[in-house]
Amino acid sequence: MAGDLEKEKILNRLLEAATERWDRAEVEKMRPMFEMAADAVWKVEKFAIGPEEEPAYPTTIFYLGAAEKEKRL
Amino acid sequence: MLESLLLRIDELEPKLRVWTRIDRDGAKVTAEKYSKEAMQGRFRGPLHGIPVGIKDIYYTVGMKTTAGSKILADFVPDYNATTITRLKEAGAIILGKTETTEFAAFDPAPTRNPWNVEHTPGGSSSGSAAGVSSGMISAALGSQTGGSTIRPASYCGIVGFKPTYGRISRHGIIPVSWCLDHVGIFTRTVVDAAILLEVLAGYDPRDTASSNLPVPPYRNAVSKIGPPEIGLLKEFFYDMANEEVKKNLEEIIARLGRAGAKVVDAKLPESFRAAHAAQRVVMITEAAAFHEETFRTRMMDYRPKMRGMIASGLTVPISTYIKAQRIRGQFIREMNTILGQFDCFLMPATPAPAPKGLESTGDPNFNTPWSFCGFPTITIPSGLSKDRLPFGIQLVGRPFDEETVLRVAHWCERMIGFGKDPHNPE
Repeated sequence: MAGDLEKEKILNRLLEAATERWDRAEVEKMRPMFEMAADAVWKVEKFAIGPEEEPAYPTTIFYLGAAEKEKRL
Repeated sequence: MLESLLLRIDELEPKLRVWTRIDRDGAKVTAEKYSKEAMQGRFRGPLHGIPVGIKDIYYTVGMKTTAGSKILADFVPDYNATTITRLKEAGAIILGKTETTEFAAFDPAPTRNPWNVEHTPGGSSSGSAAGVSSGMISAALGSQTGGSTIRPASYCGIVGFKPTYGRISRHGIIPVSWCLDHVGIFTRTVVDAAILLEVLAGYDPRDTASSNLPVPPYRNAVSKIGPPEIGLLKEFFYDMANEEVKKNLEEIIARLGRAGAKVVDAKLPESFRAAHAAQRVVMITEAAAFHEETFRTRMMDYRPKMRGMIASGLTVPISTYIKAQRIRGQFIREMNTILGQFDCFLMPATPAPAPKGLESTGDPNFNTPWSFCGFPTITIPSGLSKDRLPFGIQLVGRPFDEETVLRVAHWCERMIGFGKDPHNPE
């Protein structure tokens, strides 16, 4: 229930930002995609993450690949 | 070979809508030339004379590349994607461009499923999957940002292979999301997928995310097979799968177990809970960034789902995007640790067989986590539903260890012995 309220708040935030750029009627037509975006934003924002976690970069996976190869050699 | 494929295309294309354009004349000239070379004992490479289909988001010199969109209706690239160059160097014949959802996102292509034309073939690589499944071509390239290779391959009863992020160059492929885009391979057998990977893999200085790890001889990997140790991912995947899919997976596990595989339950890490949402945040934000300039002036030329995705992506807070990337870092690390105990993870490729209708391309939720972390995944067909639609299993391997993924997939393929196609469903 609290989750639904938080999600609704995020949706309104995104829709508000959208109406600053585009016509409200046009934004309403895109509402289903905004609802999906709001759901994703909500889940990401509420996920607890350690302060030591840095963002991944395109090449982050390479370190695992290299380590894996070394292990197998 | 080309002549017989063209006849099959003439017969099936009006029903299946696989192609956006076919280079008949160019392909015939090349085929004649390569045929003469072969008669003289000269072979350009492992794909000498093999016609290949290319998803219409790959740059192909002199051939329109429209990404299924009005925006690029007249776009003709003046260079080839690195993958196209590598295919040609290996002797492949680029037969034509295959249908895609608009910009490889959500607005469906007109393509139909060869197993039942009332059902979607999946997306976004719709034409590539249906083309291989229907026997119009024996190999095709697609892409995957969420589930755009594994899902359509599974829906169409063929092999779909997404190697590790960075293993194959993305240079010259219209992006959805730089951090998530992968090249996808469609074939009818795992051995063919190994041959394609060997041709396509390797460092490319024009792709900033290209890995310089050595490329092993993948064809050798599939010649040394034996029973694997598999981690079974039940959590989430069993909850979401329909009864038929669960039953098929249980039958497959029993069969693999009888053949000597060790199948053990594996547990998902904490970060999996946020993986789908974080994948979506990264995807829509990066897609919005790529299209922003064009969107300012041509918003209404985008199809509805793409328009909504770009618009919503432009409103995502930057701090949320960065948090999604932090989740990605944690997810990559945690999955790699868990996967270290097994050769591969096993799960169904999709929650259900191809849904009826063409309005949606189906559910990618069983595939998006593996696009998010960039690990190699493959699907092989594993049976037919009561409605005669294919099921597929999905295997996920360690980063840059495609050899093990191919080896396990080839062993499973042999043990399952699917051996059916839309023309011979029995």
